[in-house]
Amino acid sequence: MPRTVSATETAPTRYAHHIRANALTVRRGSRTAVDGIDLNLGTGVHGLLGPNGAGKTTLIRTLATVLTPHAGELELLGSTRHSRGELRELRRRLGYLPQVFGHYRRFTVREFVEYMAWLKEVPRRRVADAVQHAIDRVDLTGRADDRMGSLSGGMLRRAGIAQAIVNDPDILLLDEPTVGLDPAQRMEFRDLLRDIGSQSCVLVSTHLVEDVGAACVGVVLMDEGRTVFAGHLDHLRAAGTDADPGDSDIERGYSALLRRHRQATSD
Amino acid sequence: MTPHVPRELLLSYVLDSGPSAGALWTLEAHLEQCAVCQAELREVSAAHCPADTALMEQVRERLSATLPPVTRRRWHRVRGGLARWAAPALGPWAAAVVLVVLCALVLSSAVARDSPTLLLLAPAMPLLGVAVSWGPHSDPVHELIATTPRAGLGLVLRRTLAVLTLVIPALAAAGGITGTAPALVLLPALALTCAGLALGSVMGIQRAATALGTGWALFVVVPGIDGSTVPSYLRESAAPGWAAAAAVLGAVVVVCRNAYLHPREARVRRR
Repeated sequence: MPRTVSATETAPTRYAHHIRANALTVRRGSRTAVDGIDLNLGTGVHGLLGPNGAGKTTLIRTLATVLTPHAGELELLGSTRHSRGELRELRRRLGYLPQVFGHYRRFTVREFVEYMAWLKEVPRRRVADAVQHAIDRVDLTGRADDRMGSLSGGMLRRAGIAQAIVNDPDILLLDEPTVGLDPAQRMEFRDLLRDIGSQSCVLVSTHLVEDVGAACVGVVLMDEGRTVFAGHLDHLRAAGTDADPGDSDIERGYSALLRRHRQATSD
Repeated sequence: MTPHVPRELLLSYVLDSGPSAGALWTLEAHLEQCAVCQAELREVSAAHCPADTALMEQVRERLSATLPPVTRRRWHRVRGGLARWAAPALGPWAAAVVLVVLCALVLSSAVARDSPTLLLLAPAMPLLGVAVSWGPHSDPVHELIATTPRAGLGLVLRRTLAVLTLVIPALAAAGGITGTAPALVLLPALALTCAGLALGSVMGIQRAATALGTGWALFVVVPGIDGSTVPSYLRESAAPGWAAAAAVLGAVVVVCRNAYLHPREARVRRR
């Protein structure tokens, strides 16, 4: 069934980067979890790496508009979302999968994704199509009418990814999306990421370095709330030498950059 | 993998010659919890590195002489002891049974002595529903909902309306049965719900509803439950006052509607 394309969809984008942050600071309680971060992320898949406690989850929650920054500028899709209307418009084009994926156990996968599609204000005529398309993309078609309480961990994660992509977001934020997926599912997930990343900005926070290596184009490395490195994956690979610990060049680059940053900040 | 660590692996662990980093981590995680393997480790290390083992024993004796002993807090001890007798999952059921019996007692005494119990309890009823329908403790999808465009006053009002649709007919029916004026039963409930929502724009809806409900229970219900006189603010003459309060608080909720876009619960420290 053909659908009409609205003027906003065909209008050229007026922003260079989907996510732009300038000295972003977010506090959790008395701790500064994100301390003066600069980000410029455009179309493509970007990996967010860092040790535990570096502030990755806080950063992703701030980009998902759950938290408000205490200082600094944050521009998402060209707007600094001051007004209510702008915030609503922005959230319609956002997709988010939190680290702890809370769900309703008695809902079926299809019902849950439909509920999230309603919450994301997907136009009613397109909901059924969008839901089916999202479920097919994460390969849950066979289990679409099973209750979420009966799914295994990996399938639950995939259902979470389905709800994140149901509204075809321009910014997709995934916090540890591959936890519990087996290797074949991880490879399919990387294909899905590359597919979405060709049109949107995807930020994936993960500990699995091989996922970053296979799917991501840019990498942001964080430590204790600050950016250690933000750039192309090849620069991260080139940063490590054989003397650094790690089994792959990405791991060596990661350890090298972290070590240099910690030495530099402890001086 | 056998449930306990094989002796050769323990030997290579003690001699620091074998396990890779991943195996080491798994091994140590198991050893921390398994008393059988700890005993075997002691034997292996005493047999193969007697000097090191003797040194560690000395250190352990000195430390245990100087460090204060660990005492479990009393509540943890009681809970541990209880768990040996009753099933741990019995807790909520036991609380529910107690609650039902208390309710039956209160209601039967209310019907018998024509006390103002309904007037006292009615306003807090919607608050329970509001507290349960919102918040990280009862709504598992709370975090995701906060990032959707529908989050905000609209969704809050929809959920509150659902709660009121359930509670108001029940209260009206109870009022009809006991012969109290419907305005006295419904208006304070409405006013208290608006107060809960208005306070929720400042401190989070779940916390506000819980606080108001507890406050109402402590300061109104408990003192008045055994009296037979209706308190002055729940009499017929106070009904316009409650209506005005409901209107003012409703206006406050609409004015502060921007506060519902960012859940206050997002600032709760995670335990």
